[in-house]
Order: sequence, then C-alpha cells, then structure tokens
Amino acid sequence: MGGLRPLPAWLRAPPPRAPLATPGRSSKRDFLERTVRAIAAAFETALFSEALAGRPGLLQGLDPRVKLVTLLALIGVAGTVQHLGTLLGFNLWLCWLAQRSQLPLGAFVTRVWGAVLLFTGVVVLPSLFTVVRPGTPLLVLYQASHPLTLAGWTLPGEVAITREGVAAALRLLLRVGASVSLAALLTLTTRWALLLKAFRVLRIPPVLLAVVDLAYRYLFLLLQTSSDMFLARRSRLVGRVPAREARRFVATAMGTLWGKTAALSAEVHSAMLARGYAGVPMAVGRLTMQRSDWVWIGLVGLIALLFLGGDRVLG
Amino acid sequence: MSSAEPLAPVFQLDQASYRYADGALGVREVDLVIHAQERVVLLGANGSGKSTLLKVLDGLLFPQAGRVRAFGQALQEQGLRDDGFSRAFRRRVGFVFQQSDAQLFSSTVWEEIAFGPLHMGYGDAEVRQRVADVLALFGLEGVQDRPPFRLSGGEKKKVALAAVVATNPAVLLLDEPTAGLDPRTQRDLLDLLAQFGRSGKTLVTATHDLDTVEELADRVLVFGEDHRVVADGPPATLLSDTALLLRVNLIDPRFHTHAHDGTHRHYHIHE
Amino acid sequence: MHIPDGYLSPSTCVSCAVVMVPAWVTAARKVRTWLHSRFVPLMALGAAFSFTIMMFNVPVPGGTTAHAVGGGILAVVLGPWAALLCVTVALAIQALLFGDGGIWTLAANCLNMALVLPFTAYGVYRAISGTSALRATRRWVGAGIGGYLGLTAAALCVGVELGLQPRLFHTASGVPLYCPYPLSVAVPAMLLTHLVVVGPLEGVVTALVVRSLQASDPSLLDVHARPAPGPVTPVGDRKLWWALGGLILLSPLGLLARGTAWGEWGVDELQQMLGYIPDGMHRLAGAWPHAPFGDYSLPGVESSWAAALIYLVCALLGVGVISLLMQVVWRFQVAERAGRPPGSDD
Repeated sequence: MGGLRPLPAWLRAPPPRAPLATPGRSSKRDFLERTVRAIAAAFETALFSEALAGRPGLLQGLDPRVKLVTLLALIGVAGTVQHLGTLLGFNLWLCWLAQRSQLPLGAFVTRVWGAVLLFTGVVVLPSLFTVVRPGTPLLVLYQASHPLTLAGWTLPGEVAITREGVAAALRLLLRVGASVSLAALLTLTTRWALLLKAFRVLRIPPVLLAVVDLAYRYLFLLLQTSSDMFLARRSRLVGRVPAREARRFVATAMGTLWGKTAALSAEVHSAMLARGYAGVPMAVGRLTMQRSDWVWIGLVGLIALLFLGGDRVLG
Repeated sequence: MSSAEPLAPVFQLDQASYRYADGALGVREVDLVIHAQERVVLLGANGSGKSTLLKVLDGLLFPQAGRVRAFGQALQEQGLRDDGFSRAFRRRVGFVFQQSDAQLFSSTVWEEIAFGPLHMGYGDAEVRQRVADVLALFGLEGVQDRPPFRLSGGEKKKVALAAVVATNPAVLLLDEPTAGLDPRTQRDLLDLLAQFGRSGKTLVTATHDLDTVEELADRVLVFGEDHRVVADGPPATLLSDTALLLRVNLIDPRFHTHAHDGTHRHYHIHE
Repeated sequence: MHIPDGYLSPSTCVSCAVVMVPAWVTAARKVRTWLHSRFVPLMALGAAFSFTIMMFNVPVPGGTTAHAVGGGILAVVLGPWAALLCVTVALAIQALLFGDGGIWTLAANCLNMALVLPFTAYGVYRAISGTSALRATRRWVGAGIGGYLGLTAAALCVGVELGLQPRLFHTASGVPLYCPYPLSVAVPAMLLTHLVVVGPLEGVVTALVVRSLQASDPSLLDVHARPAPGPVTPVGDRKLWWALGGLILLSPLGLLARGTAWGEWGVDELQQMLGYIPDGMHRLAGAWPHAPFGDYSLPGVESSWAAALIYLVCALLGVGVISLLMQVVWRFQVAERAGRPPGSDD
C-alpha cells in the first residue's frame, strides 16, 4: 500500500449546495429517537436511585434484609386488604414513609402514581361501564326508551357507570399504587450492591445472585452500545425510515449486539478466571442487625395488624 | 537490578503455536524463556500475536502445537482444572486485559479490588486490609464506591491494575496498558509499573507504543506480521534497528527517533 | 405484557412461583452442567442482552412502535433452558430497578415470558428447522414462526391468569378484588392484540435477527446444538412432541368454522336436512350418554372463549390419554424384547 492514490473527481468537486430549508415541526418522534431516549431514561433512573439511596433517611438506615422482607410482606398486605378506606390510609402512610426517607415527594408521587394512573387507569376505565359489567348504576350516561338495532346487533338500552365498577376500579388503583410505592421505596432507598446481598436471606442461591449482579453491571455497557448504534443510524438519517427497513435495522442491531455480547462474555470469563474464579461466587462481609432494625420490624408488624384488622372492622 | 546468576525460568515455550477457532493465526512456533524478575516487552503491530501470547502464558489459551511450562510445570487445560494447581498459578500470575470493560466486572471499585484476594481464600479482615492498602497506593479512595460505568478510561485502567495487584502476584502480564491514556495518567501508570519492577516482579508487557518501551523493558521481543518472534534483545539495540522496525510495520518510513539512556527526552526539528 | 402488582391475587402469585421454582432449579442444573465456570458470565450477559433488546422500539404497521420480548431469539442462540434463566434475570432487574412489572407478580411474568415463550418458540424452531444447515432458510422461517407462536402462547397465559381473577377472588357481593376482567374479556383482548400486531412483530424480529446472524456469524447459532447428555426420549421424538403441542394450541381455531363437518351430523341435524332419521341411526343415537366432555364442551358454557379453552383442555386430555396408552404398550414391548442386545433399534 505505497503512495497516495488521487481522490476521485466527485470527492474533489465542491459539495452540492442544497438549500437548508427550515425544518418542519415534526410531532412524531421516530423509533430511533424513542429508543435512545428510553435508554437515556434508564441511565437516569439508575443514577438517581443510587443518589437517593445515599441520603440519610429513615429507610436508608435499615438493614437491607430487614427492609426487603418487611416491604415484601407489606406488598402482601396490600394484596389482602379489601376496604377502600384501609387502602387509602395505607397509601397515605407510604407517602409519609417516602417523605421521612428524604425522597422528593413530588417526584415520588409522580413516578408512582403517574405510571399507575396512566397504565392501570386506562386499563380499568372500560370496566366502569355497564356495557362491560352489569351493576347498579351510579351515573347514567345514556338511556333509550326502546333499544335500537343496527345490522343485527342490539345497542344497549342504558349505558351507565356502575357503583361496583367504580369500587372495583378504585380498589385496583389503590392496590396497584400501594404495591408500586412499596417497590419504589425498596429500590430507591437501597444501594444495588446491598440489595442483592439482602436477597440471600430469601434463600436464593448465590450463583443466581452473582448472575443478577453481573447482568446489572454489564447492562449499562450494552445499553450504551445500543444507544450508540441508534444514534449513529440517526446521524445518517435522510427523511423518514420506512417501517420495513426500520425493522430490519432493529433486527440487525440486535444481531450485532448479540455478537458483541457473546464475545464480551468470553472476555469476562477469561478475566474472572485470571483472577482466581472457579465457578463458585464469593462475597465479603456480613450485614449486622441493629436495634433500629428490630424496632422497625415491630413497627411494621403493628401497622400490618392495624390495616388488616381495620379492614376486617370496616368491611 | 538483575542479579549475577540467572534466576529460575518463569515461562518456557517450546515451538508453541496457537490458532483460533475461526482459523485465524495467533502465534506461530514461538520459542521463549522468561526468567524471574525480567522486564520483557512484546513489541509488534496490531494483530501480530502479542495478546495471544499473553493469554497463552496465562493459561487462558492452550496451544495446539508445542509446549508451555510455567514455574517449571506443564501448563495444560487438564492441569488447570485441578483447584489446587489453578489457585496457586492464578495467585502467582496477574493479567491486565486490553479492554478494561471486560476486566471490571464487579459492582463497585471496592468489590473489584476485593475479588482477587477473596477468591484466593483470604479471610474477610485480610481482604479489607489489602483493599484499603491498594486503594491508598493507587489513589483510588475517592472512587471506591463507584460502579465501573461511571469511571473514566484512565481510572478504569488503574482499577484494573489495582485489582490484579491486590493478590500480590509474582508476574504481571499487561496487554497494551497505556493505550488511549492521557499523558498524566500514562505517566502515573508507568511509574507504578517501574515500582513493581524494582520490587522484584516479573513484567511482561505487550505494546506497540515505541515511546514506552525503554521504560518498561530490559528485553524486547519483536513480533512480525507472520506471527513469529523475529528478534529478541535489549531495547536500545532493537529500537535503533530501523530496518527491522520497518519490516514488521512498527514504524512508517517517515518515523525517526533518538535513542537515549534513561527516560530523558526532548523535541527536535529537522529539515 | 408485564403484569404489574395488584392485578393478581397473592395466591395466584404463589401458585406461579410454585410452578416456576422447579423450572428454575432444573434450568440452573442443566445449564451449569453444560457451561461450568462460563455459567455466570454467559447467563449474566444474556440477561443484560435480553433486557436491552426489550427496550428497542420497533415500528409496527399503523405508525406506532412496539417492543419485542426476544425470548425466541435467546432460545435459538442459547437453548430454552438458558433462555429461561436469562429472561428471568432480565425481568427481575426490570421489576426491581425500573419498576416495570410487579415484584410479587415476578413469578407470573416469568411463567409467561421466560417459560412459555422460549420453550414454545424453541420447540417450533427445532420442529421446523431440525438439523438443517446453519444458513438454511428453514432456520429463520422456523425462528420467526416460533417467535410468533411463542408470544401468542404467552399472551394466552397472561389472559388466562388475569381472566381467572374475578371468578376466583371477589367480595361477597361479587365485586372483583384484583383484575376486573373475566376470561371472556381478558383472553380475547390479549389474544387479539398479540395475534394480530405484537405476535407478528415478535415473529418478524426473531426471523430477521436469525437471518442477520446467519449472514454475519452462523457459528453463533450453533452454541447449544450439542444435545444435552442423557435425555430420556430420543431427539426425534421431541420434535414431534413440540409439533403436537403447537397443533394443540391451534385446535380452537376449529371453533371458527361454522356448521358441522361432513358426515358428523347429529340426529337432529339429519332430521333437518333429510326430513327423516334412518332407523338404525335412531336406535344407536343415544347409545353412549356418558361422555364427560360431550361435543368437546361443558354444559352451560355459552361464551365462545370459554369454549375455546375447553377445546384446548380436551385436546390436552386426548393427547395425554393416548400417550399414556402408548407408554403402556411400549413397556410391554420392551419387556418382550428384554433378551435383545443393547443398541438395537427400538
């Protein structure tokens, strides 16, 4: 490969001067941008989590094993409680816990209830109406004196929001909200490394925990690689990508990612072997329980009894 | 630095050849003896087999032809399956990979450095002590709780080396340790490596960066593009053999340098 | 496809966990035997891969985007048992760290996306592609159909899990405690979107990924091809079982056909068609009144989706009974041939 070859004529010529028209306002974000944003959001979530877990709040100070078991048990309580009033009280108490753990309340509520209302709310909406589930009407929306028939189908004579529908929907919303709040409280107040150690108390084999730990570690590398691939494609974007080509691109990105993943796993394996790994993962350190942990367990027990009992009394 | 009588051989290769599963050639017919406390540099262009040789020396790849001996014992796949031998071997040899991301596989810097000692069988207290010492040595206390994806390139290399050093290996195998580093980090790393060399560790470094060779080595092995060792000698001699360097694609026709004693360097402008 | 907390009762969650635990244990044992010390790094990276591809937005016809699960892809490159573990870990990380999918419902989500999806996809893939060359067309076609059927089967499971809630868990006055939609709503809703939109997407993406791997590095498709040591049934049998499973799943499609198959008319239909009932038929018509699943249905079932489910149950029962009988026959044959030397064909 000696000597410089001259540039072809079209590379030597000045580039065509296409006018830079003012870009139109495109409301729809294409799949490339959506994916890149989703990945960036994932990074943000993880970083934010780690930051919050370092604050000196109520829940942060607990032994992670105690936190894990009690919060999981509370999710179970949320699943058992039936009365709407009890569920509401439960949710309010969880917001109080969040505040005492120095979690920004606004962000916490938005993160939990935003997702709940958006997803569960939409799902549950149809069940409010008599069309889906018959029941005692609470709010009648439409009433016809005689039912209309259209092409063999009979339109319902009355469409109303039922009392049972509203009760069931509220119950579901509050329950889902409580569960999501508890899960968020657990993950936002515990550092990842400690969270995994806590899972050992649930008798999950250490090998599986090692897999989760390593997966988490390399997750961000793969996310970054993917984001780069999508961004690179975006930088060469001319016009919209037709759906078919887009699917092919995503599939190729997945294939490429798998190739890198497989190679990376071999490298990691070598690196682990070189440092003495023989197939059995080990970890340092014992977590010790303190007085505050026992106090917390007692407290949670009482609260659970309170809510369950109150449920029985009210309902 | 080197004692009067030759020290025991650490690695002995006898016509070792390795070919990858997809058919690509790794190294070809390498004859090599590395003694304890030697500082060796494997010099060659990209893809000439330096990384492969390091992996062979570390018992990560096993040659299809020829023999490899480490510390007087044959290094074979079956042999390393034995826990006792494997542990003893891994304790004595540390490997710093070229790609830091594959090498940093723990959740935090602290855990990464603790991994080696922990898997060597040290108790919790000893592990903690070692990690604290190593963090202090490398100046990494500030990032000890950080996950790897939040480290800069230079920090990653430091952590990788720190993690390997924590088991106090007798031999350090380094694959392109200074690649992609800014000057200050490179300087720190080279100083550390010099310290380790002075304290009696055997260093085998693979690199194509000619500027760092003299600091890192008493002996240079040059790899040709045919994946063989084409020269073996002191750095001053080999680095001034421009014909050799040109032939193995380590320099281009416009390159020139001045050999100095020690690390003294200055810039020239020539017509 | 991820079921959040609150939609399933605690007992449902526990039941799913009861099903999953032996699956996890078996998977861990098999894969560790295969991988040894490569287990942790490969499964971890597989899980990270699984998580990552679930984040990709893929355009679907209609202008919007959707997500593929990718369980089929993992099943093809790593085998179903490894895929089970990787998807489980990915789901766990999603639930714990990103709040996607509930923690109590983790086992249920694993049942759907880590067990049903990869195994169905793998079965169909192996049934179609068999031992063809790594670059053969049958491979990616099989993977595509596998992905489609796998996701649809998973969707069906989700629908069933959700749909059973109002029937089993309600207050004294009948108000549902968890998911408010019964089987007749949940199952069609899940099946419709997945049969028509998300399923084909999963199939297409799986097929395209396999094709892209065939072009770039076919050896990646060979990773798991070594047969697991010591299977009880020979590999040839397994293909047939998986194909059978696929056919069982598709059997309710027969309900869509109107009318009665030729020659299978009941007595009253004959009366309508001919105007009279032949004498012999008249006598034999009521000969066997004891069928538990008369007409492949249960008395009192009107909803066509419940009927479809009963169809599936009948198919499973039928296959089960026949296999049992065959096993008995086979045992007898083996006992007969006990004197033959080992290695002879059986």
